[in-house]
Amino acid sequence: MTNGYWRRAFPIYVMIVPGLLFFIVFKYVPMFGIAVAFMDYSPFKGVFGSPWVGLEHFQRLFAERTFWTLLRNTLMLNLLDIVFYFPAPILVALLLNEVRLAWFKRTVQTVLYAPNFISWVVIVGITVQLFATGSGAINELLASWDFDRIELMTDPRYFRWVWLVQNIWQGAGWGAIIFLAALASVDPTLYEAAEMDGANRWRRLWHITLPALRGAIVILFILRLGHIMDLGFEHVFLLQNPMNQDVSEVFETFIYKVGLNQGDYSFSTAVGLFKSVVGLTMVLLANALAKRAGEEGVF
Amino acid sequence: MKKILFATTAFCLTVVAATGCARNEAGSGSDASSSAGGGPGDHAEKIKIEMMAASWTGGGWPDNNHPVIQYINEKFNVDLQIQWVPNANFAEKLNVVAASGKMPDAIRLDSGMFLKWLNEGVFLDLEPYLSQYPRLQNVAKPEEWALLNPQGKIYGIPIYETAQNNVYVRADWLESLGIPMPNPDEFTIDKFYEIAKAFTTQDPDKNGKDDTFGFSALGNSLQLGDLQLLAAFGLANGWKEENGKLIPMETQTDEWIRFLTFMRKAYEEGVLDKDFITNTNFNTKYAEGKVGFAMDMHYQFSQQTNQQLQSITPNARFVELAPPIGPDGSRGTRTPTSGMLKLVLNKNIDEKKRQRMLEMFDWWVSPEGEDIIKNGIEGVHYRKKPDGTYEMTEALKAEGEGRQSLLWNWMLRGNTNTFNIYKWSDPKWAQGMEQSIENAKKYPYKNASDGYLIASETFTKQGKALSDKFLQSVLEIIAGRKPVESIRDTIDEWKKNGGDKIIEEVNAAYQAKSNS
Amino acid sequence: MSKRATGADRILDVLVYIALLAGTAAALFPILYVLAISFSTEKEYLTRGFYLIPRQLTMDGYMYLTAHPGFKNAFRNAVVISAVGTLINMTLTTLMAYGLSKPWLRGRSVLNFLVVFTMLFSGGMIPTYLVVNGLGLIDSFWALWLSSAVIAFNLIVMRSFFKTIPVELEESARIDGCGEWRLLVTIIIPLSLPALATFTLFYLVSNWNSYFSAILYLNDNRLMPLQVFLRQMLIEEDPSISNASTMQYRYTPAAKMAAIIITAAPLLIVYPFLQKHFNKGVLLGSVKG
Repeated sequence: MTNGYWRRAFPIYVMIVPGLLFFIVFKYVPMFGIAVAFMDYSPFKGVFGSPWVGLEHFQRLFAERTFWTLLRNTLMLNLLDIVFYFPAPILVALLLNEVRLAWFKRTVQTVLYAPNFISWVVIVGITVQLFATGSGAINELLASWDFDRIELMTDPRYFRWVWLVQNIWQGAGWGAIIFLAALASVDPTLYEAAEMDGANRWRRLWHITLPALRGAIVILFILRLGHIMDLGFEHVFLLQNPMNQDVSEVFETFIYKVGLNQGDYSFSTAVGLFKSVVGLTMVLLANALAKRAGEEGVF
Repeated sequence: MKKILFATTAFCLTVVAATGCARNEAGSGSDASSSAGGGPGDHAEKIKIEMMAASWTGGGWPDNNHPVIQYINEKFNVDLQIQWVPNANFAEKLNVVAASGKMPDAIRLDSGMFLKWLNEGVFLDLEPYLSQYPRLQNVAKPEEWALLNPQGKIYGIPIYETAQNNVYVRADWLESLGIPMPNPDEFTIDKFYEIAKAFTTQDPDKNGKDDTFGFSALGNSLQLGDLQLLAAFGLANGWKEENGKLIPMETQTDEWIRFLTFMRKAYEEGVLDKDFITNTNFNTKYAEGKVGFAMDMHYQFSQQTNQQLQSITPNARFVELAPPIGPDGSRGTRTPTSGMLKLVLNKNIDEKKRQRMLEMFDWWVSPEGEDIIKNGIEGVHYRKKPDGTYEMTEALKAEGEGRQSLLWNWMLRGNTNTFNIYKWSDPKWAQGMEQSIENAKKYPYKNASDGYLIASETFTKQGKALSDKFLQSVLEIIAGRKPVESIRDTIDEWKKNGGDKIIEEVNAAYQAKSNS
Repeated sequence: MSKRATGADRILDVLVYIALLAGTAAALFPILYVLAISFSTEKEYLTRGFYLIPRQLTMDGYMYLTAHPGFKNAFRNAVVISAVGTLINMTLTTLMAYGLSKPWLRGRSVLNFLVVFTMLFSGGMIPTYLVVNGLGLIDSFWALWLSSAVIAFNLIVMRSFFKTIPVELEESARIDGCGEWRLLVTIIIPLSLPALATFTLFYLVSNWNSYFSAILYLNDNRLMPLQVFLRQMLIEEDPSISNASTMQYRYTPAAKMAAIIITAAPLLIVYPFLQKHFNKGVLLGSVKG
């Protein structure tokens, strides 16, 4: 009965309209800018006046000597991130969930969430200071115990792990918030009932807690995959130095060196487009898989 | 729940209204339309002038009501609107401003951006008008005016720069080790190393710990932050001219081998700071008091680093020396090419505005202009003491010396060597400052490719990546992970992967310019 | 008496507490260091290595920043931007997320895809600027409020939260003759407080920290929010360009660290107020507290 449907649906559509307008005006209208990836763009000639160069920028990108290095580095970091960093906030949320003491839980939460506000400049700066080969506190300690000094910042072997640990440090507490919110919606009586029925901690975890988080985890995971080619520029840039650049050079830093400073806007748009296409493919795949497994996808 | 919603909405509407009102008020506030005299020309009409410049550490002024701006506004009957954009985001902001067609009336540009937009037809050609503004015209030599410009046209006011860096040494350490201050004319690279080694091994700060070293370096640039050392070994400051051609430092094999042998030895023996690879700037290193030799400019040491040191060790001080003399007699200190930075004017300004702006700039770079723009306003930033000398006001002291001269430092300045010398500066110190510039002039060390390098497309596309790879080798060699001879391979690689093309393109531009 | 505290349970408890304490310590360490420096004299910073408690306390860093002309203004700008911005954000996002959460809504797949697509593809900085400019929003806080009115990520996750609300509620409400709006306001929202609190926090933080948008869309320095103001003090610009043409003022370490603390503090203060909403499950599984 279409009439009934519209009566029900009309207010819903009205609710959606303001947000939708935003997306149309500020996200879709500017999308004409993607065409810049196929042009030799000059801000003075504008999008409609700049000459068309077709796939030239992409050819340049793929012909780039370091392209595969960039790809490898980007994927390696993102892989590490997905395997180790992604579960960290979930773990934190689960741990916090097991805590009974209200004041302890609240305090720990606030402290764990604080690192999110420390900028990368400071985090990297402190790390450099602590691990300075000559005079860093940690290395001094190691030397006094007769261990070899660790060249944390310049040895390429450490780069990915330093990046990862810093990420976890900064983001685990903050990321846990979403999961905590999901857990807060769980009816407490479910736990009580389960206990009455003799379920131990692990079974309660498996049957109540985790299912409550499942929806959020799936959505976040799919979205995470969409960003498989993206890395925060500032963090990598600060950790990068000529000694570790073989593993630390990623697309974002590459563009920075090659392009934007000189105003090579078109090239960086092309690289961005490339990354977006890969990300979209991943999202489509992951979403289809999720739906196949009976989960709600992102669309 | 409803009450909260209502209250919040009401609150927000008020806030929005207040914000809107605040903006309007602020906008119409600066309407000081007193027709001040001063200067020739008809000042009857108040003209709005928008200027944009990059801001550095400390940021720009929070608003356009700064006393210096107000002074200029009154003097020339203008409404100066300065936009300060943090340097890290300057290129991006320029791009959007250009794309939206709302270019400011004047922008300070570096050579890269300048060349990129040179042919877009957005800069005002100043050539026809310069003769009317003699003070402005004399702010730079003709070749500096012409630098980077196409033949016959002048698209920007050059910003004056001069060599100011030098090598400095911890005089108190020399004293405590009984080493006499070296004579600049006998200060060879071997003497440098000898003293640096003494600093490392003989515990000059007498604290019983083996924690000092001779000199440091930077790990983020091919020049390692130690240009004076490169100069001593004959390596070019980027590029040098030889037999009418420009050759880059990356191809100077023999010089590199000598230099790297030296640096590697220094690293091994601890004379070179082992943590230099992660250094991106020197200031903290110097201030921590562990380094014996330093290279920077006089203001840095006399006003900042020495103060920091003295809070730790009372008589610690860095004293100016001279760049070390290399085995073949070469020495040099960083010499910028004046005129690489430009203040460009927007082509689309009308005649009245153009006249007013040029008039303003003409005064700006003159001694009268310098007096105001560099020192600030008497009574606000400094005051006269009974004995005739000057001192800073408390307000300026609290904010920081130099915060009043942002327009001088970051926008446009005259060609005097009185950087950071203010009315209230100690005359002896001021003399030391100017002397240090004279000293630095004795050891010129220019980058011969200034103005030509940007013409190379290969350099724009691959230059940084190539030099990063080169730097990686250099660092590995110095740190002892690769043999010194491997630099030959590195050089070959550099040339093969684009270096040769860059050399070709740069020389083409150089020849074209020399022939014209 | 319904709790059997087994040995295994106790050990697990201890492990949980230890793990969390370790995490807290790790999180706290560097923050305490930053705090310590913000109260330290420069001399101490330069001579001591790593320390958590300064031997000599000074308020100079904080005094300098708060007395600096422009600080108060920047702070006020940040408050205005955050308060109004978050309100706009939450209104638009909540409405749209709720709307898209209705499983019977036609066209929702398409709309959802459109939203996700914008997370991956973007027109870029210049075209977006042109749109903002074309709407006449440049140099006004509206540029910030409107250009980031909805963060797609927040929308998608909030939508999935709304989906967890049992369908029976909607049915029974409809039977009672309740319209969609009343349903939303009187029933859904109170039930979704954890999610709403979460995203209010996210938006608040995002607005409070806005830096790049501010630089891009605001020309007048008087409108600059706190982050822009303070970042300029932290970033020591490339010294290879350090000749007098770019004479830079040097800030004491205390001032730099104080800048960080000042920026982070308001958010840390706000957090507990929102926190109580996503802590409803605190008393889970425990009768004796």
